[in-house]
Parts: sequence; C-alpha cells; structure tokens
Amino acid sequence: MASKSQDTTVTGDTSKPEKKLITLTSSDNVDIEVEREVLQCFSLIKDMLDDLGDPENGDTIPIANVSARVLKKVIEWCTHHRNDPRPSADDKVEGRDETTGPNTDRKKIEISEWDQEFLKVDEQEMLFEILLAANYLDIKALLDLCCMAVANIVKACVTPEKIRAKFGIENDFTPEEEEQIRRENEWAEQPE
Amino acid sequence: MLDTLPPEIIYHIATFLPTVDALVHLAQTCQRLYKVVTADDSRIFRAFVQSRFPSIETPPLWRDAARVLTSRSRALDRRALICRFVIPSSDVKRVGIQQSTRHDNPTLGYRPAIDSYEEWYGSHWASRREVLVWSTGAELAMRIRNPGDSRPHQWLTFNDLDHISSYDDICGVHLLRPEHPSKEVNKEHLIYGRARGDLVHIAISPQDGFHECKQRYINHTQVEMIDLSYGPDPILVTLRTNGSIAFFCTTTRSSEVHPSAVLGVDQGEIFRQKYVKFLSSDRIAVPQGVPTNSIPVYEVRPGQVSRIREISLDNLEISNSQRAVKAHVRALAPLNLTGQVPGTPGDLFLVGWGDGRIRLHDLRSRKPYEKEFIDTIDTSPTYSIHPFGHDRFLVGAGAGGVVKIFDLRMQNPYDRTCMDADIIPLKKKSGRNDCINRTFPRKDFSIFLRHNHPPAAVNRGHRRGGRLNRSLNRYYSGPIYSMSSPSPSSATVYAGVLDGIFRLDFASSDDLTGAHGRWYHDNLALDLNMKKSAPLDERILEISGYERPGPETRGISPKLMVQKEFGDITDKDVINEQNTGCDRRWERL
Repeated sequence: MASKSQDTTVTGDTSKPEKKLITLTSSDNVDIEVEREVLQCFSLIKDMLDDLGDPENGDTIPIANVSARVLKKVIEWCTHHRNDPRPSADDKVEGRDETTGPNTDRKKIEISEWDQEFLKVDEQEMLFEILLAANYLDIKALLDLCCMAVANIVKACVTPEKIRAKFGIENDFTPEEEEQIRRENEWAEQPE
Repeated sequence: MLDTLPPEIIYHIATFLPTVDALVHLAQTCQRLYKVVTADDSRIFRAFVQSRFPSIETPPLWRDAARVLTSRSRALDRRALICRFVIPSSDVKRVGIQQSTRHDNPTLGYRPAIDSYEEWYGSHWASRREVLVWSTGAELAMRIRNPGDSRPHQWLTFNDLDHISSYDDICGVHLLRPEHPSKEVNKEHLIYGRARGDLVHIAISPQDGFHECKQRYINHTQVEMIDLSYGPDPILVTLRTNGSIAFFCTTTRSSEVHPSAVLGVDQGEIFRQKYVKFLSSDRIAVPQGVPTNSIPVYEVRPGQVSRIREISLDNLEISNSQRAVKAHVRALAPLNLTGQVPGTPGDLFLVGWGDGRIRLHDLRSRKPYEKEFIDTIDTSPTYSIHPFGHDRFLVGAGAGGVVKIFDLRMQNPYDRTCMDADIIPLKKKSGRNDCINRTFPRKDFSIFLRHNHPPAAVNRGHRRGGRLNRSLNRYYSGPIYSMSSPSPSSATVYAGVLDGIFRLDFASSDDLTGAHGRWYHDNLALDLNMKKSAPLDERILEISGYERPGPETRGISPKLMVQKEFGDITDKDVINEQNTGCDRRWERL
C-alpha cells in the first residue's frame, strides 16, 4: 500500500470557534481535512455519516474514484457554497421523475461570477473530472453547474465538426452514415 | 471525454441545451453519442422538451414533441399563421331533431361557445383524434378528424328541440375528456347549457348518430354561462341570470343531479357578476361588478365552497373615472406555468379588466397584480383570453375582429429568458438554430379576422367547391367571443366570431414549403390546400395585422402588414423573411 501524504485544505475563517474536521482520502491516497459542515454538500458522504456516525479518531473516509487534485476543487466549491439553501421538495417540479426526467429547478441556471471563475480550469479534462466527481459524490448543484458549462460549450460549437474539434471526438461514421444522419436531423437546422 | 460520459450524464447535459439543433449536433459527432441520443426511442428529447417547455404536456413521443413545439415557437416568433374558416361539410350527419322551427327572428347571429380536445392512440404524432364542438345558436356542430389516417372528417350537428327561439341558444359547451369517469369509448360526451336554463350531459355515437341523455342538472333559472373543471372529479358551474352560481358534480351516476352548492345574491355571499371561470380543479374565480368591484376566488370542495382571496379594483390603481366600466370583467384565464415557477395550479391567472388592460394576478402574492399588458392602439374591451404555447397568450378584442398576441417573455416577471440571460441569448427562445447571429426586435402583434363568415353555412351545411360569397368581402368588425386549442401542444387555435369560427394554425411558411414540408403537413394535421381555387372551406385567407408599439413608444403609428397567398411568394419575400424575421407571407403596406 502506498504511503499517505497529508494535505490540509483551508476551509473557513480561523477566528471562529474550532470546527469539527473530517479526513477524506483521495484515490491517489492523499488525506484532506474538511470541515464537517462542508460535507453536508456531499450527499453520498452526508448519508453515510448520518447512518454510521462520524469516523473514530484517526480513521479517514476513502473517496475511491476522485483524485486529490479534483477533490480539492470539489471541496473548494462546496466550501464557498456551504451556506446556499438546500434544494427542497418544493423546488422540484411536480410529476417529474428525477431518475428519468430533468429537475427544472430554476435556481440551478444562475451562474454566479464566482462559479464562472471556478469553472475556468486549464484543461477540459478537469471540468469532466469535477463533473464525474460531483456525480459520484452526489453533489447535485455542482453537477448541474458542470453540465451547464459543457452544454454552453456544445451550444457555442455551431456544427458537429466544431463539437468534435472542441472535445477531441473522433468521427467514426462512414460518409454514407454521416449523410444519412445529417438528413435525419435536417429539420432542426431551420434559421431563426 | 464528452463521448465517453455515461448516458445519464449526457441526458442531464441535454436539459441545459437551449436549442434542439445543439442536441442533434451532438448526435452527429460520433457513433456513441448518436446511439445515446437515439436510444430508447430518442428518450433524450424528453429531457429537452421538459426543460425547455416545462408547462406543456405532450404525449411521450419526445422527438416529435421537440419538433412540433420548436416549430410552433418559431412560428409564433415569425408571426407565421394560416387562417381559414371552419365550415361543416355538406354531408353533415344530423343528430336529434332533423329540422326545427324557429319562433323568433334574432337581429344578431349566434355567439359560438367552443371546446376541443385531442388524444393520441399510436406511436406517431399524427396518430391522434381531434374533436371540435361549437354552439351555433340552438344547435351544436361537431367535427372529428383523425390526422393519422385517410378517413374523411366526420361532421355532426345536434339539436333536440322541435321549436326554438333565442332562449334556447347554447351559451356554453364542454366536451368530456377521455379521463372523465363517465366517458365511453367511441362516444363523445358533451355538457351544454341553454340560455333558458337546461343543463344537460349527452353522449353521441358519431358512427350511427345515436344520442342519449346521460344526466340533467336540475336548474330552474336562466343561464348566462357555464364552466367545467378538469381533473379527477370535474365540477360543472353555472352562472345564472339572477346572479347566483350553482355547482354540480358530474361524476355521480344519478340521471338527475341537484346542485351540490349554490352561492346566491340573496344570501349576501356574492354580488352581481357576469363571469365564472375555474382556475384549477378546485379553485374558481367569480368577477363581480358594483358594489364590490372585485374578483373573489373560491376553493371548491365536495359540498363546500369557501372564499380564499379577493382581488379588489380599489387596489389596482385605476382612476375613479368610469370605475363601473373598468370593473367589468368579461374574460379571465388561468395561466399554467408548471415547471417554470413553483406553486400550485390556479395561482396565476390573466384578467381582462374593463379598462382594456390585461393583468396577471398571482394568488401567492400580496400585490393586487403582478404585471399589466397594455395595448395602446386598440383599447376595446377584452372578450376572451387564451394562453397559447409556453410563453404567449391570445386576446380576443370586443370589436374590430382583432386578435392580439401577447408575449409573456417581454414583460413577465417569471421570464425564463431573464433567468437564462447569461447563458441563453434572447433569440434562442424558440429552441431552434443558433447558426445565424441575427436577432430581431420582439414586438407584440395584432391580427384582424375581418373576413365575414359565410352566412348560414353552419345551419344549412356547405356545398364544397362553392363560390366565394360576396358578403365575405365585407369586413367583420365584431368581437372574438371565444378561443380553444385541442391540446397544450397544438398549433391550432379556433376563434369564435359572430356566426362562425376561424381556424388559426401557427406554422412557418419555410417549414411547410421546405424539404421536410410533408412532415409538418402530416403531423400538424394542417389539411392545407394552397391553391387559389381551393373550395371555401379549405381556402387560406389572407389576413392583415400590425406590430403593436409598446407603451413606451406611445404615439407611433403601427405599420399595417398583409398576408400574401402562398402562390404569390417571390424570392424577394424570402429575402425579406431572412432580413426581418417575419414570415415570408407578410408584406408591409
């Protein structure tokens, strides 16, 4: 087993009374301390802590699918948004099935300046890693934010070719298939 | 990495795509994304439809729904509409009394009450059945059409009276929807009210013309109007000429139904009113005139009707002059913004107040109203309000044959555009293409339904291929009494005028005449005959209209526009369409 490295994330105002810290261990075996309050955003961890209680002294919570680099970004986001109101049942659309239909909670489509800065990651891969981490850790608001960011990029690419170029997607259609699919979807191309 | 994401995440991304072309572009990038987008019968389009058109209920034909709704939204943006008369065919089947005798000579024609619905029965958008009914004085006219097959439309008229007069006029009619517990398959059930007080539920078998009375609602007072709620336990309400309001349960098995509740003037519960309208399955608005000048809203529970809110004219900041006129409400319509704003059905409704302004009221708010919609050109009273699409409503004016189209996005506090402002440019609202970086000024629009309806066409039936009646050339300048659309996703509005009804189909000329025109013809069920020599009941009417200047540009004269015939469209009109964003059939005078 690889040796662990210790890394503490600054998560709050130090002048306030000391807050309870929980240690997470990333997939690349880095320990990261997080205020317990911040973990309220992590629905996966929150449910676990609610069921099993806080870890004993010295124990850490393994986050198997998320590297330290990504986990720190996720914690940074959750720390900033820790006081945001949690989605309530009223925010969801009546009759919409969360597993198959979208939640059209309108709050999620507001992108704050802070979030816009947060999303300015150097590599596109990082955006997808945060997105997948948010999905794994069940942080809905962050997942929405990342999906919206990806949607905005897709939207800005006004042709399939530009989407391929932007996301490094290989065109594996035959010319015949490509033409057939183009004709299938031609109806959506009417000018505004 | 986009192409390797799990399907559920790609679906989630799709909910944030503002336009359908962005979604289909994803499908065109590679095999995997194509499979994800087309999987489960294009289930991903559900995400798109429900996030972009959250208040519009559609059948689960998601790809078609995306196409129909974006097409309609785009047509509304382009003011693209096709106007025709609705005229019963000459082979109309007469149900009930074949020929009745009239004992008076009314000076005015009939004012149609209209209802319509459509239901889907197959796996294609065109696999549906649409039923339209309207009152033609003492009779009812009904049309049933099945866009998905080649069967001709079925036409029926109904009357059960040998002798008629204006007291027998039908002042309200409602088709029972398929989910109503009493509705039988292969029969159409209707509840109608005659001015003299009859309130009847009948079932008609369109195949054999057999009809039977299913229920009578016991009422001994003349009727002004009726309304029917929808939901699991529909309630019939009638406003009577003595000012009282009676409620009837429509799901009981009894053949005679007594009122479950009555609000009476003599009991001091209500004052003089002219209108009743259900806001939802259990809320009803009852606008009242003097002395209260208000709109009380009641909650309707089994055996109990209780007032939950009252909107008073005193709080509307209307000047004291002509208060009695301004308090007179003739039109009111609930506004369904499910999915766009939280709340419960019936919270939001539009009212056409007597000062000519439409106000949006919100029962959750302490404010007397949320927004005003003002027409500075035509200040005639409002006779009908018809929410249409996910972000518009149509208003039928009390004179001039004017239908006004209002855009909720322009002024609505719940405007999704405002909330999306940082990610969705205004021009993207139609959900279509973003290839062209051109935006067009959004202005509200009014149209004139000024063609006179063919006289007596309904009562006597119409001979197909008949010559254009000379009277059609005269201008209709009366009110738009009523409007109805068969479903929330329908591109069609039926508008009732004196002695007849118009059909308005919102569809863009370039959709209809382009490479995929057949799809729109078939699925929107337009029954289009673009020939100049088309018979009267199929002929496309050329109507006029104008962009309404907003209140901030008071004093500016609107420029009249007139529609061209399809056959007269030139390349210049196509270029004009590209430059103005206005459908190619419109020509500025």
